[in-house]
Amino acid sequence: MAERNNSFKALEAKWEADLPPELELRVSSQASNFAVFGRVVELFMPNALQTVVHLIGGAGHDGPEVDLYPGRRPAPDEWPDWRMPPGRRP
Amino acid sequence: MREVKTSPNAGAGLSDNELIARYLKEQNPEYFTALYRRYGGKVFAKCISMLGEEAQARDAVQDIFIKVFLNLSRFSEQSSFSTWLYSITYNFCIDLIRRKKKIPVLFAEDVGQIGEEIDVEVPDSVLLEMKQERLEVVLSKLPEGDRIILLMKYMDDLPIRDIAGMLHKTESAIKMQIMRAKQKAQAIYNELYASDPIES
Repeated sequence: MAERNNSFKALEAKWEADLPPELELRVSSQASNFAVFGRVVELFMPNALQTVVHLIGGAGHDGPEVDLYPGRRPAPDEWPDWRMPPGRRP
Repeated sequence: MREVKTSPNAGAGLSDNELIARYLKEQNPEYFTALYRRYGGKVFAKCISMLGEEAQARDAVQDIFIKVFLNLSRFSEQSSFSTWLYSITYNFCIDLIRRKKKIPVLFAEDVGQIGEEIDVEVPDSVLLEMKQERLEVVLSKLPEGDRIILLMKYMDDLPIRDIAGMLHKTESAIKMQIMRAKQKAQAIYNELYASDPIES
C-alpha cells in the first residue's frame, strides 16, 4: 500500500509536526531527576538500612552486605563496635 | 525541576536497542532524550488522536515517557522498542478515557456482543483515500473504541493478532469491530458531506 494514499498516515504526520518543542525539556528534566534520585537511593540506601539494623539492636550481618572499604578488607577488630547494644557485648 | 542541557545529536546514529543498552550501562539521560526525539512526535500523534485535546495529549506524552523511563530495564528485546512503546501509549490512553469519561467497555467482548447479522464490508480505500481534513472530522465523531481500533489498524498497520493481544480480545471480535467502525465512519461521512458522498 503506497503511503501517500493513506490519509491516516498523512494525518499522523500533521499531528507529529504539532509536537510542542518545550515538551522535550520537560521529559528530559524529569528523566534526569529520576536518574539522580535513583543513584542517590542506590548509594545511600544500603548504608542507611544497615545503620537502622544496628540502631534497633541487630548485628552487622543482619543487614545487606556493604563494602565500606572497597579493595581492602579490614581485620575484624578494625570494625567500630560502638553501635553494639550493651546487652549484647561479649 | 532541574533543567538539563542535552546535545541535539546525542545517540543519533544508534539503534533503539543500542540506545537502551547504553542508557542502562552509563545512566546518561541523553540516550533517553534521543529516544524521545525519535518517538515523541509519533506518541503525541497517537495521544492527540485518541484523547482529542492538545493539553491532555501533552500531559499524556510526558507521563508515558516517564513510565517508559522507569521501566526501561524491564524491556525485553522480544518485540521492537517501538511496538513496546506504542503498546504502553495505547493502554495509557485507553485507561485515561475509561477513567475520565467513565466508559467501562470501550471494545466489544465478543462477536455476539456486536451483533451477528451479515454486514456489507466497507473497502479500506474508502477510509484510506478520504481527504485528510474530512478524515480528522469523521474520526472525532466516532465512539472512542471505534476510533482507537481504526487508528491501530490503519495508522500503525498493526496485524489483527497484535491488536487482539493488546486489547485482550479475540481476533474475531476485533475483526467485527473494525468492520462496524468502518461502516460508522462511512455513515458519518455521508451525513456530514452529503453533497460529496462516498460509495462502497
